Amino acid sequence: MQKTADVAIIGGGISGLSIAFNLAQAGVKNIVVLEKNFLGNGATGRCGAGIRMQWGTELNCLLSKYSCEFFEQAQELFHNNIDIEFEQGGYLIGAGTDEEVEQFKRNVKLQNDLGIESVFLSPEEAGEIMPHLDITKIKAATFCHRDGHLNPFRTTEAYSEAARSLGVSIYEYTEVQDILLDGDKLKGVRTDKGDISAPLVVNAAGGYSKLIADMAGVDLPVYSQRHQIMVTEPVEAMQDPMFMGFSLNIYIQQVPHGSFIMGRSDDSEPTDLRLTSSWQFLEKMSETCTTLMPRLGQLKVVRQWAGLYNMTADAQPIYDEAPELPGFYHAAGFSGHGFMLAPVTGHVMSRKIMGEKADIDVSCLNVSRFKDGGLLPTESSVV
Amino acid sequence: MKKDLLHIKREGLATADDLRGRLPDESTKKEGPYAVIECFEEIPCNPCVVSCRFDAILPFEDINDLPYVDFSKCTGCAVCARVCPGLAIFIVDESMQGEMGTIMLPYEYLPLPEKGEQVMARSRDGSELFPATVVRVLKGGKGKTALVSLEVPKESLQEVRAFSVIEDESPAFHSSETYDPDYESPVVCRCEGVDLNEIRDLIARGYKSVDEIKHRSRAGMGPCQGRSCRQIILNELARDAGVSLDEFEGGSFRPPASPISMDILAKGGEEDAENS
Repeated sequence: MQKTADVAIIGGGISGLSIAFNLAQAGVKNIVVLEKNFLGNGATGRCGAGIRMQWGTELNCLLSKYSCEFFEQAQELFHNNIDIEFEQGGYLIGAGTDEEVEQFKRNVKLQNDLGIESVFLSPEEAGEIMPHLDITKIKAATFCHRDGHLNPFRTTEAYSEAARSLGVSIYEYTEVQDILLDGDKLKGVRTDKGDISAPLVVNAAGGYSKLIADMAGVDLPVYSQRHQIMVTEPVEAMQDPMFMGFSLNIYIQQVPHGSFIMGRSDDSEPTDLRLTSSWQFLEKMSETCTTLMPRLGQLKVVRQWAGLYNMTADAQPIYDEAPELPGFYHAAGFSGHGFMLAPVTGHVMSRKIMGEKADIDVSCLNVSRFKDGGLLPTESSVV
Repeated sequence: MKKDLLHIKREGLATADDLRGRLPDESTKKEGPYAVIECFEEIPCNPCVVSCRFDAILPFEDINDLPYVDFSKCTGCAVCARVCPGLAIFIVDESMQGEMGTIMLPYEYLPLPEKGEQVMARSRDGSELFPATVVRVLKGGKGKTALVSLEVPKESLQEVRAFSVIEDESPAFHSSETYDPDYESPVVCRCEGVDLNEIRDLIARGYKSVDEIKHRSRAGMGPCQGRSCRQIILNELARDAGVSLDEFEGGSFRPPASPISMDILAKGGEEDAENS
């Protein structure tokens, strides 16, 4: 393994790979990505892989719009032939309460003002898009036809192949065990395969980002919570959009393969990095799903798994250099949306590391906001 | 099922007790070839009985009966061995002079061995016995199983029940060298339709674990959750790396163990039943 690097990125998930790809594209040499397992083994390979532009805050709309537009052109941007299976069947978001109906009206106005082509729909109109939805369970809906979902494994491969072809060194099965300091100055990283000295280190370790920050002795106000997903046997294509509801507490999509993949949140889920699966989830998820989509009740669940949401207090990411340790950067706290934000994460982080201005101002996503009382308005459009 | 056969369900192996009554007496053994039927499956299956032209298999009262041979009628013609779907019939011949006899074994793998080839004789539990020479090969096809006759010392005729080809000592297999897109590749994951070429291609491209291959190919993501493909993929990984199978982890096992409909799950069950 190499002994020195200009930038060492910790975490071979979609965020770390996107940062590496963007840095390499901008001409930075000698980049290493360090992954303790295989690429995408963390939250990247465990997520729902939905991409949507329908958000409730301006910043999230802009961030996700950047990402969505990137994925639309991914094949050309990556210069490889890996099909990331970006299926733009739209996102249909159901409102379960009167408050949500009002919020969704405001959201659509905001989204339209930012050039996102979402529409506000009656339950009947939603039922035309998704005939197996019990429309008596929703009060209204919004829809954006450019939203969609993609294959997280292929997307990981597309990013890693693109990064490799630009000269990035990717070390799998290489675990970072410590952050090396010289006094109070950053010196590099220690791995189980040897030390790498690097003036710039990026913490993109997802669910494990706090462990990495602790190694560096810097504060990162995030915690990880288990979220679970289950998948059914495949059937003929019958649902184009991702359906999602916040108060309804569900996201569900039918992937090109024919399976339905779905998840929900649960405040009682553990926050101790465990990745076990629970029966409670299977039952609650099935109940939520069959209440809204009774016809899916006959489908058999073939598999369930879990991944980690890396949460912040305002459910927005942290894109920042650690104030205590110059050269040490965080791309963390994605709160369940790291996958869809990956293209913009790569862009803004690479610009920040190079000291250049990014296309979107993300200075408010700093790490100090949690201390200064500068929390952002909490995004309500989350599951 | 008869109580005294229950242990076969658990262990998969017949004992000397189970085989009692399935062999001819010593004088009949010397008269010519005979069929040994080691069938313990009380299932509706009767091709052996109806195929025998000599009525040498005792008639069934019920289609679930087990077959027993009337050795006074059996000629060792092997017709029953050709049609037994369970590969449970063997033709033994110890009528010749000298130390050696022959045993004819059903064989479903390809390619078939050739006459004169040395193969490894194996016992009922698959363990190696000794190298033996192939003396006759009857090709299969049209619903008939291929039969391969081995020359075996007479005292071992009731031990040998299988054989394996002896492969040349060769260096570790490298998938990239043998990848041939025109080759009709065997299916590895039946649920998801993933064939061996695809698995070997992924290994050649650097994927190093069952889980990585599962993510990329979908092998093991179907309703059976990798019950057959997992082991095949492990074998391929070990062969490519030139190391023992023990060096590889079997990959993640995900609940539920078998598919359950959401209607059933939604009705709920016990609380606090957590599994990993």
